[in-house]
Amino acid sequence: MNDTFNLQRFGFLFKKTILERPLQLLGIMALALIATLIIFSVCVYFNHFDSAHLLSFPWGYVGGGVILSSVIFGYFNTNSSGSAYLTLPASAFEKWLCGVLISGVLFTCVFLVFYRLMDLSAVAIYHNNLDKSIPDYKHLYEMAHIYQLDDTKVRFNYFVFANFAGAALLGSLYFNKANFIKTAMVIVVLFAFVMGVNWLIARMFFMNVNSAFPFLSVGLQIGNDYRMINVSPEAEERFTACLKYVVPVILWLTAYIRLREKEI
Amino acid sequence: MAGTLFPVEGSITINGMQPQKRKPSFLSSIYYIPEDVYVPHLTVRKYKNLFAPFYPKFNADSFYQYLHEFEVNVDSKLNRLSFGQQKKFVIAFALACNTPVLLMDEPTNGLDIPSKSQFRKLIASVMNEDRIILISTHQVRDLENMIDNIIIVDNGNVLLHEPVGNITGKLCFKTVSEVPAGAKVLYQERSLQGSAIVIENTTGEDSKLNLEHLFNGIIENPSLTKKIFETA
Repeated sequence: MNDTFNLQRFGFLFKKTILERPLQLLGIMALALIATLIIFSVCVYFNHFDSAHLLSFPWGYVGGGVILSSVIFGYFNTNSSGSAYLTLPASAFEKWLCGVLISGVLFTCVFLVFYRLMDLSAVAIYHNNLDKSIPDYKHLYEMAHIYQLDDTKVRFNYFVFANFAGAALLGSLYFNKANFIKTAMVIVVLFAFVMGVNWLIARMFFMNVNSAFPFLSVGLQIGNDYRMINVSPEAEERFTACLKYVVPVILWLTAYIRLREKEI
Repeated sequence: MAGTLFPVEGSITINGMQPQKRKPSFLSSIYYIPEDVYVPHLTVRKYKNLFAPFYPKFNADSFYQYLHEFEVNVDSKLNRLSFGQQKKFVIAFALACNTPVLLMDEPTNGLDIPSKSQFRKLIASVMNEDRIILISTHQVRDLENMIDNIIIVDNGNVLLHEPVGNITGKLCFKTVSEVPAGAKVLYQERSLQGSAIVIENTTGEDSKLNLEHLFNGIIENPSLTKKIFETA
């Protein structure tokens, strides 16, 4: 028996994970899509297509994805369900991969397909309802456009999703009860701590510090003159690459290690 | 032993495998029933369809037969069953998995009197030489007649680990009006008929094991227990 990965066993596990708690997993996905549709529809109703995209995409995708990630390993609320999950004959890798596929890949695919269909429908309806004879028809026509899912703004959402969904996944394995709230608190405290320490370090090097963003910039206020000191573009690129790729990978992989070492 | 808690020191192996690694080959060879069982919001059949494939030796016919013996409705939703019914369902599923090792924590908690009797019958019927059923319980009277090896643990220390035959060979359980002079008394309890005692069996007398008295005696007198069981 292959103790690390077996395709048939993984298939059983995937099916079991989805069908054991369909209301919870599919319900959260459905809620995320409904929330996206509502935010999007309200903005579109007032002809604010840009706002519709900027609001509905992050709330639906990042918000829904983070909530889903926080419940995917939600077996540890009670000792009985936790031990039933841990003693289920599947490897830690298969269990982790199942969680990652559902909360990371499956949710992303479902959301993007839904979003594109919703966007296409809204734009088509808007264009069909426009009166071609009005003078600013062209301007009004161009107001509605399809959200490009590989746009820089959208990519930023993917990275935010990867970070926060990874943190939620990891948090659900560290905190057995109220994991979503506790993980959010840890993130807030960690962020406040880094900002505070960064501020103190900046104060050690500069007088008149007005603002300081960790690893990237320090803003100085001298009289009425406000100046920014930025790190070099190469260093900034390295830092953002770290936030985009390294931190999510660390978070998602640590979830696997934690799952292997999880005790009840 | 189920791999849900790791040893602080030392190591555990079951059939040559380390539980803490939680390898599928190990996990499919044991079934652990905790004191509070977990059942998802599924029907009996759906549960079987989703969970049974993980256990290669699962026998569906036996499963339904055990459920019938326990009088658990096959069409019912598990979360709507009473705690006792849920427990019986999990016991039936665990037995049908045919794992070589079955771990049960307080299996008779929550079972009514007829169900306890059914449970004993069922365990006796599925017991064979290739199977180990380890039962951890405080309800010792429920299981008195079906245990062949007894381990008594107090505060993490193993105070006794002996087959029942050895215990009744070295200890005598009886009710007397007066404690025999010079007897090493492990436990004594006043009753209406006299005193129920557990003493060292020096005459080879046959007596019926009383688990509750044995447990109390060993907890109260661990040093005397050690002396009695160390002597050949």
